[in-house]
Amino acid sequence: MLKLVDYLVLEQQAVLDAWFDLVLGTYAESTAVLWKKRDDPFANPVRHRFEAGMRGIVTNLATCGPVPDAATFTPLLDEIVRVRAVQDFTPSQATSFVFLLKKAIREVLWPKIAEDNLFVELLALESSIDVLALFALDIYCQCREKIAALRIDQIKKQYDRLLKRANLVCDLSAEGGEDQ
Amino acid sequence: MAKYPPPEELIKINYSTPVKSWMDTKTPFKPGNFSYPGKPDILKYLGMPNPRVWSPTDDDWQLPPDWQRLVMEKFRSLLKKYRSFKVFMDICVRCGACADKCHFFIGGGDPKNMPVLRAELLRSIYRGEFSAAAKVLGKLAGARKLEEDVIKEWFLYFYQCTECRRCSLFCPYGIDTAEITMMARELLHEVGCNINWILEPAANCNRTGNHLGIQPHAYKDMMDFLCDDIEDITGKRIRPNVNKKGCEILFITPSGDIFADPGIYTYMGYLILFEHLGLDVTWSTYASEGGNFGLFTSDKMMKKINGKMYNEAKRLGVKWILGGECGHMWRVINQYMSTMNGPADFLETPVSPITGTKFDAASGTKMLHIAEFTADLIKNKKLNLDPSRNDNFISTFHDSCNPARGMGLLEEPRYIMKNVCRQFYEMPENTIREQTFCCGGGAGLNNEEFTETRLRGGLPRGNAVKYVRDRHGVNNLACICAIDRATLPPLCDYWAPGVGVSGVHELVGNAIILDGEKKRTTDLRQNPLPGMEDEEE
Amino acid sequence: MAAFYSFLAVLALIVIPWLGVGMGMSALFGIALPYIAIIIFMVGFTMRIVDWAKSPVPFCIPTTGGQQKSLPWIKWSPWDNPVDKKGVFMRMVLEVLCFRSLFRNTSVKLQQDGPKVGYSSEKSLWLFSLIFHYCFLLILVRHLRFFLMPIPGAVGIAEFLDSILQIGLPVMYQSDALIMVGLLFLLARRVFDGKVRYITLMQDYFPLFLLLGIVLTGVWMRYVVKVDVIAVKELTMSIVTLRPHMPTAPIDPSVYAHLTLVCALFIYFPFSKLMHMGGIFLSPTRVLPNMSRRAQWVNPWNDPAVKAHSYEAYEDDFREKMIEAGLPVDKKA
Repeated sequence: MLKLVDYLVLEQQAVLDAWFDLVLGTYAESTAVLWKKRDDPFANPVRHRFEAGMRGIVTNLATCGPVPDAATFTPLLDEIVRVRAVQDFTPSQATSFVFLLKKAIREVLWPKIAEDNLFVELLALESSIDVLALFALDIYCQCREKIAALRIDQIKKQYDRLLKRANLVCDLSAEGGEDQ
Repeated sequence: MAKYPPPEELIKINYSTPVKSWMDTKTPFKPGNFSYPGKPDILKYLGMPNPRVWSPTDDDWQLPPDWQRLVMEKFRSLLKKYRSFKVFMDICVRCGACADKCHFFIGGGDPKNMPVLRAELLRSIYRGEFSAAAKVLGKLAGARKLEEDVIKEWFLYFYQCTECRRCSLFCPYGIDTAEITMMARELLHEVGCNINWILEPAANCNRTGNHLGIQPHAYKDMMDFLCDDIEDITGKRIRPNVNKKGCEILFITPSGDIFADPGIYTYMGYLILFEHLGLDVTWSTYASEGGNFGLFTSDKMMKKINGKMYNEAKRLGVKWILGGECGHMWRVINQYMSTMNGPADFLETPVSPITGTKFDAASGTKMLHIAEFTADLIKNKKLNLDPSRNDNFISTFHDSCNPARGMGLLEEPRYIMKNVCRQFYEMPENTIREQTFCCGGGAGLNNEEFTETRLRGGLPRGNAVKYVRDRHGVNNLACICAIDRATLPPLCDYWAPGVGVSGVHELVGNAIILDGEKKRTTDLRQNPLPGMEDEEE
Repeated sequence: MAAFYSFLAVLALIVIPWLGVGMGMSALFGIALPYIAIIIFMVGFTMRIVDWAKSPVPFCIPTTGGQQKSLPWIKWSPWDNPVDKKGVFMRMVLEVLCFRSLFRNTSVKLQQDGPKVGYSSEKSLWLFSLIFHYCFLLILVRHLRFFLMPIPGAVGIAEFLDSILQIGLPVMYQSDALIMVGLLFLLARRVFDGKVRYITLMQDYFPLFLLLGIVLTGVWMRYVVKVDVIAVKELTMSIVTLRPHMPTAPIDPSVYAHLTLVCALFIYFPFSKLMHMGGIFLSPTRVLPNMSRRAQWVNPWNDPAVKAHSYEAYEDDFREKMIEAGLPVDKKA
């Protein structure tokens, strides 16, 4: 008998489509139309990144076993989270797309789950998705920290050289290391 | 069949966006999506109306009591002054060709960032106030009344436009959102709604000659500092002329390049190039700014700031002016300078003293782009180049919006790139040349508080950079714009980590072999040259 | 909602003349209205163009779409980045006849698995608007048959080409079908593409419905009722020769509906976005050459009173410091 993850592989495209639609539902209607329609990776980078990330997540979810590992999923989640981190979302909104995968899976695979009595497997899979959400949270924080760091850097760059020229700061790099 | 239970966490959050007309959508101000307003003392210095302390997140923006009259009067006068404005208000058919061309819309998805809707923000008032029929039909005809919320909306979205003109390229009628944004900003000035990052540099530029307010002695000091670095690297001491009368050429470049990383390396590149050629050139502290934040303020301010270039050329008695790498500086020089402050009949058409090439393209303004100058030198084999010194860089080239769509300077920098470095790869075709994507920081939006929105708008560019990084191992994004050099490093850091940013003339500076220089072990950034990693100083 | 109102308005423009003619007001719809419409169109159109043309173009601001004319060995794009009138002429020819800017809508597509980058494009808007505009032109030319005596050869050629497929009797014109396709596509975009729907206003739906109405009544007249063409020509010629009179033979009311819709179009034209027809020739980003670095572009309202902060004032501000830094100064301290 097939397992839930097997169905996930078989119905991959349907799950992906459902998930993608749910995620686009978090944007304004006119925006969703644009991001849905064009699949040119350069004219429509958002769709491109989302799709690449989501496809990887679903594929790997089917094969990763009970514990998803960060090394595999972080780059995939990153594709999506990095974009959503700069799109005026609250932290919960920005990372919520992971939970929408649960909904997509239930929507698409529910008949199979009910038929083959795969509820235990479903619970396990959903726990895995919860783990992904935690990864997403990490990435989100990293992105936000990065933005803060970039802002600080920009200010620093503006004044750094002026301070050095005004001899207001001690410039160690100019004098060489202590061991010289 | 049993109905599945919805995951609980999804019940709580309702994401669906109500489908409302854009006119009914409130303008959200959040930290990160707007730039800080102009400070009162700066407004006073510039003689601009309604100086006050305020914030876009305030409910009351403290507009002057008769602000509606002020705005409409200005609106009328602008319509009289600019055919572009009038025609662009009238002929849009809302075909939507521009909609997905704006980097802010592509990356963020806010419908009001579609160029057509950005313009409709103004058009709706134009109809509501100037067209009787539209007034009657109201919202159905896209007309509305001028209310305080409209001003707020204008402030947000016309300071979320980088005047990059990408939409204008695809518009069947050439409707130029940059032009519309300029008009809208002039309207906003009437009621004192503007941003400090534009006005303070403009004020500084007026007084000290550059955006940063660097005083002349400090400018000279920093120049010496860079000459020290060049001496460390090449063993040659360069003594550039500053404010010297009687030279053949006056050189003007953006002040951002004299002290901000990575612009300083481009600045060093210029110094090395001029030294190599023995060029009779002087720099100026009075006109030490190529960039012109007046372009983002008003035609008056632009003219005032630009005027210094010819003033200084006249005072110093040079024959022609050479201009450094900069984006909007070149839009101003190419499309506004001679009209505003010319004709420059006291100057001569630029002729390269090295190759004898006469540059007819600059026969009106008498101002030559450094990329044109250098490309000509390389073509005539007048530069002693060692491109292997740039072997640590795998480069691509980012066309800056203004030289691309306001001038057409596309091949010259590429020709230079291909001659000074051996690894060069283009980004995908619809992201370069005249179709280039903005860095997100044009038109005065390269301030730190706007970083988040800028990164969002930088996604299309970042995505293209990431593509060449993954595909060809590109680690250097070369550009010919000082704003690019300020905004692209964080953009790359976020979207395509591992890719640095340089000016084209930084790479030229690396490649040039100066007469009698010592064996170089590092590039201008003092990173070891290829094969010199173990070399001791 | 806006679409619905527009539709109702056009429907009214069909029903009113239909009923009106039945009540014996054919002279009103057949003679008075066309004269009014033509006068409004001509006066309105001229006034709009004059109004635009009168407003100054202070700066030379073309959007450059290709390499500038620079050094002789650099390949220049003379049509995308013209420097003179000749280049602008070519740019405008391409723009007006080929909709070049819309055609530009190219995009690079990455093939999913494989190193090749392929090229595709988003050209539906370009294609269908081109179809619509050319069919409209062709139909206008064909209609000259009703207003000219003798009929010029060009009209005959247009008719011949348009009916080259020889379908049906009377022979079907391909332009009638194609213009429907074009218009329906343009309408469908506005209704079904959320992004375009969001920006669409009543004045975008109205001309589409109006044109659809014109085409449909025209088709109805020609292929269904098969109206008395001789009588129609008698009417139109009487209008053109300024000796208006109603033809003796009766004319089907659908002709009056068709005529009224056309009149509505003429009247509406000068006050609407349809003026893009004239506006494109006055759009500074397209019709100006990229010449302002080569020669002087004059701004009629240039204000000579706006002056830069002078060097003297600058030196007065910083003289001490400049001397100290070894910078040359004009006036000693």
